Amino acid sequence: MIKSLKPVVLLNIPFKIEESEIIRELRLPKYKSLKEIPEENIAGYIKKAIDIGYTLISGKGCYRTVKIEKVFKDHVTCDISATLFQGSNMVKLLKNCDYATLLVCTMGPEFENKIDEIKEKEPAEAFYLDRVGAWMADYFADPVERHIETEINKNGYNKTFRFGVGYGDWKLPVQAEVLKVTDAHKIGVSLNEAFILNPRFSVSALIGWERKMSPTSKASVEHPS
Amino acid sequence: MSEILERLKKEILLLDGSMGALLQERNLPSGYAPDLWNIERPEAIIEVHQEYISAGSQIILTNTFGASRLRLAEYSAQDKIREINAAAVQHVRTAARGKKVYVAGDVGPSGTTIAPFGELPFDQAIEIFYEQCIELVRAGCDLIAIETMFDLQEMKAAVIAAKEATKGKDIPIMAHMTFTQDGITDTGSDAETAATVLEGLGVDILGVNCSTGPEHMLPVVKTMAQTTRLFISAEPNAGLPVQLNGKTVFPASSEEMASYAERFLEAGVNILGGCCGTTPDYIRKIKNILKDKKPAARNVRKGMKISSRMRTVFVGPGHPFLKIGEKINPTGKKLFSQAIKEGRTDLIVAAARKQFEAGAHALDINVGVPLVDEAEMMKNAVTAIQNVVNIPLVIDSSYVSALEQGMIYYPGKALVNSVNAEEERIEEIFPLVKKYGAAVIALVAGDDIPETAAQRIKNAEYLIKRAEDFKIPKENIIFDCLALTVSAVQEAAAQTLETIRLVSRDLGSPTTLGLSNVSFGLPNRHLVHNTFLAQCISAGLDAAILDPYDLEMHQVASAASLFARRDPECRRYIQVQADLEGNKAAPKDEGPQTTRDKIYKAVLEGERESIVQLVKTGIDEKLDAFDMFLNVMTPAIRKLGDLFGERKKFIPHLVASADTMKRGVEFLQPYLEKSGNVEKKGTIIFATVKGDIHDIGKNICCLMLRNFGFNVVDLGRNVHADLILKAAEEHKADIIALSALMTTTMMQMKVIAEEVRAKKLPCKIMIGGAVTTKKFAEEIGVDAYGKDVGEVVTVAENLLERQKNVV
Repeated sequence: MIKSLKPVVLLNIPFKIEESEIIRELRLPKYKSLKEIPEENIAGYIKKAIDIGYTLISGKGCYRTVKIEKVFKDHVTCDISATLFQGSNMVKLLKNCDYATLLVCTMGPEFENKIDEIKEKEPAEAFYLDRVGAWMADYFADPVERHIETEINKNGYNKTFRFGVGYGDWKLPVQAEVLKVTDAHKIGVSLNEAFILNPRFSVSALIGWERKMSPTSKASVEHPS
Repeated sequence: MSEILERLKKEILLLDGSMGALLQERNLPSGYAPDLWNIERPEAIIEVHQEYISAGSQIILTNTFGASRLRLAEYSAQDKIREINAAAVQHVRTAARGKKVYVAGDVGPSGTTIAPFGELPFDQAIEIFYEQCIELVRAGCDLIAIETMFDLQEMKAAVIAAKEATKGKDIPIMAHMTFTQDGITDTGSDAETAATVLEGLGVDILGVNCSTGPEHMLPVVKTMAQTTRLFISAEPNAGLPVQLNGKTVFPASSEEMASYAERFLEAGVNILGGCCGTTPDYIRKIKNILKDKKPAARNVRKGMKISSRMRTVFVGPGHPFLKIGEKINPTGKKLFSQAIKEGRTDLIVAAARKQFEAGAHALDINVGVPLVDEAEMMKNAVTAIQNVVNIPLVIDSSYVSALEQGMIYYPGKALVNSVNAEEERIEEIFPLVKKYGAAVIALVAGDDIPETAAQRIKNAEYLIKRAEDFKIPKENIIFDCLALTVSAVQEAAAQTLETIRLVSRDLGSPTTLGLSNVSFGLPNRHLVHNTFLAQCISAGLDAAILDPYDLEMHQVASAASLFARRDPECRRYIQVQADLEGNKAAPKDEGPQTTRDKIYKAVLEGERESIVQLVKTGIDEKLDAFDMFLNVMTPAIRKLGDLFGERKKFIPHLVASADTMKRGVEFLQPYLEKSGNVEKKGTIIFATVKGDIHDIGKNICCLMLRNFGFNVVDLGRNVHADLILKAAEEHKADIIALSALMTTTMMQMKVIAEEVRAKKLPCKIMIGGAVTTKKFAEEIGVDAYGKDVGEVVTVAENLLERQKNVV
C-alpha cells in the first residue's frame, strides 16, 4: 500500500547542525571541527551562528507520490498532471519508474527573519547565519527522503537520486504545481514572482520509484499481514 | 492473567502470515481495501484464516489492519467501522470451527502523522484508535494487536486507546513497531528505546513486524529481549520486495524463512509469525521446527529506564551516574522568565543545547512562571527541545495539567518530577504516570520533610505500595532523598546520606536529589555541593539534578564513580580527563604591544568585540583618527587580502575583519569628518537584481568596498532595472555592481547592461554571485566580473582606474 498517494506532512523534524558541514559551507578548508580552527574568535562566531540556528530553525516537510502514466520524448505524464515533469532530465530520471514522489522541505521563516533583522548592523553575523541556513535548507530533505525511501523499499522499488526543482531543464516555473500538489502551504512554503521558494531556506525535489531487476518470486502482497 | 499470557510463559505460539498475498490470489483488486472484504467477500477471508489455522497458527490476526476511520474514509466506508471490525472477529471464530485459536484484533496505523511530528492532534488519534479497538473488543477478540507503527507517538496513542477499550477485561495488548534495515524506526527510535517505551506503556507483548526480512529483524528482537522481560513477538517479511508485472513480490521462500525460526527462538521470541509475502506453508514449517520448544532464557539488563524518542538511559547500580541538567528553570532568571511569559522557546532550546553539550544525560524541564499557561508552555518546550537534543527529559511542574501536557507531547519514556507521599498528589500523579508510561521521581516526604532517614524510608515504602495499587512497577520509581541546605541544618546532610543507603540497600530502588540546594547561602558553593556529591555517590546515589556547566562537578562525579563500581575499566573517568585537557587553551605570548599594534591585529584577526574600545583608546592617547584609518586599519585589511590570495585566510576571516573595520571606522567617523579627511574613492551603485532575494554576499561586498573608502549606495535586493539606472544617474555613479544567485534572475544583468549602453551612462558595470562566471560577464558585455568577496575591492579599484583613464 502506498500511503503517500495523498500529501503527507511532517512537522518538528529533529535536526543536528553538524560543525563540519557548516565549516565546509563557509569554505574553510582543512578543518572538521570548531576546535581545530586556530582563530578562536572565528570559531566562536561560527559556534554562535550554530547556537542561534538551534533556537530558530524549525524543520518541516511534505511529500506526495504520483503514479507515472506515460513517458514521452520530452516529458512524462502522471495520474494528476501532464505538465509536472517536463524536459529531458525528467524523461531520463523517470523512464524506469512506476511512481515518483515530490517533496518540499523548509526550516521555517524565523531564521531568515533573524538574518534580515541583523544584516545591516551585524553583517558578519548575518553572513555566518546565512551559511548555516544554506546547509540546513538541504539538510531537511534527508530525513524526509528517508521516510520516502522506506515506503519505496516496502513496495518493492529502488529510489532514484533526488532531483531538485530548477536543476537542468526542469524549470523553476513548475514550482507552483509542485507546491500545490504537495500541500506545501501546510508547512508555510510559498513562491515569489521569480518562482523562488519563500522562506528562501526551503527546497523542493523529486524522487523516482525505479523498478528493480526481478528475482524469483513466491508470493505477493499489497499490505502488511 | 489471561490464558494466552499464561501459555506464553512455557510455550512458543504461532501467529499467522500475510493476509494480502492470499487475498490477491483470490482476485483482490490492486489498491482496494482488504478490510472491505470482511463484509463483501466474507468467504474469502474465512478461507484464508482456515488455511493458516490448518497450517498451525494459534493466533489469528483479524482482517482489520486498515479498518479505522481515516483509512476507511479513503473508500468512503468510515461509517462501517463497527460492521467491518465485528465481522472480522466473527470470521476468525467461524474459521476456527471450535478449534482453540486466539483472535487478535488487528490495528494498523491511523493513515496520517501524529502531533508533534505530524498533523493529527494526539487526542484525536486516541479517538480514532479507540473507535476501532472498542468494536474489536465488543465483538469478542482475545487480544488487541497493534502493528506496523513507525512512530512511537502514534503507538502511544494506539496503546492508550486499546487500554481504554479493554479496561476491566482480561484482554492483553500486543504492540509491534516496524524497523528499517538499520534497526531503527523511520522516526529514529532504536529497538532498546521502542522496548522501553512500550514496556512503560504497559503492553503485555511487544515486538516487530514488516519492513524487513528475518535477517535484519533478528538483531532487533535480540535487543528487545535484552531490554525487557515482556513477551516478544516477531513477524518478518519474506525478504525485501520487488515489483514484478505490476505486483509486489517477496522473494524469500518458505524454507528460507523457516530456517530462521530457531534463531528467533534463541533471540528470545515467544510468538513467531510472518508479515508481507509469508504463506501458510511457512507457518507449517515453523510449526514443525518449534514444536515442543520452550522459550529461551533471557539475560535482561537491570535498572530503571528512561528514554527520549531515540535514546534510552539506564539508571541504577552499575550504570553511569545520571546527570540531570537543572538549567531549564526560570527561578531567579529574569530574561528566561520574560521569554516564557512571551511564549518563546528560544532560550529554553539554547539552554537545552548548552547542557547537552556540557555533558548532561537528561534535562529537567521547568517552565513555571506566575500567570503563564504552564501546560501550553510545557507542551511547546517539550516539543522544541526534542527537535535539537536526543537525551531524555524530566517533566517538572507542580501543576498536574503541565505534567500531563509534557507527557502527551513526549514520545519517549519521560521521568516525571515529582510525586510525594501526600495522598492528594498520589491520586493526581500516579494515574498519569501509568497512562503515559512514564517513570517518576518520588520525594521521600509527605506534607512535611521527615528529619530522620528512618521516617523517610517509611514514606518511600508507602509510595511503592501505593504505586502498586496503580499497577506502576517499582522499577519506574526513583526516590529523591532530599538534600537540604547544610548551612541551616548540618544533621540533615547526614540523614540524606543515610536515606540514600537505606533506599538502595533495603528497597533496591534508584535514588536522586537536587544537588544545588545543599550549598545555598555559603561561599564557594561548588566546593560544598561537589564535596557532598562525592559522598552521595559513595553512599549509592544514582542520579542528581545539578549544574552541568560545572567542570569540577564532572570531575568529582567521574572520580567518585570509580569507587562506586560505576565505571568498569575507568573509561569514563579517563575520557573526562582527556576532554578537560583538550579544553585548556595554551596561553598566548602577546608581547608588548602599542595601541596601533592592537588595532592592526584586531582588524587582521577580525576581533569584532574589541575594536571599538581600541580605537577609543587610540583617540584618548591622541592618535590621529585619519592616521588610524589610513595607516593602521587599511594596511591590516590589505594584509588580510594578501593572505586570502595566498590561501592562508578564507572568506570567513575576510568577513569578520571587514565587520571589525566597519565598527572601528563608524566610531572614527565624527573625528574623520572633523579633520576633513572623508573624501571617497568613487561611487558604486550596488544591487541584487529583480526577482532575486539573496543579498548576504552583496552586503559583505558593500562592507568591504566601504572599508576601502568607496561611496557605496546599496539599493538592496530584488531591485528593478529602472531603479538601478535612476540611482546611477542621480548619484553620478562610477560603477554599477550587480549580484544574482539564480539562473532565472541572472539575465536581468544583461537587461541592465543594455540599458546602460542605450542611455550612454558614463559608468562601468561589474557583476558577481554564485551562478555568474567570467564567461557570462563577457557574453553580456559588462566590464568586470568578481568571483567572490575576496576580489571585489581589487576589481572595483581596477575599474575605477580604467574609468579615470578614460575621463
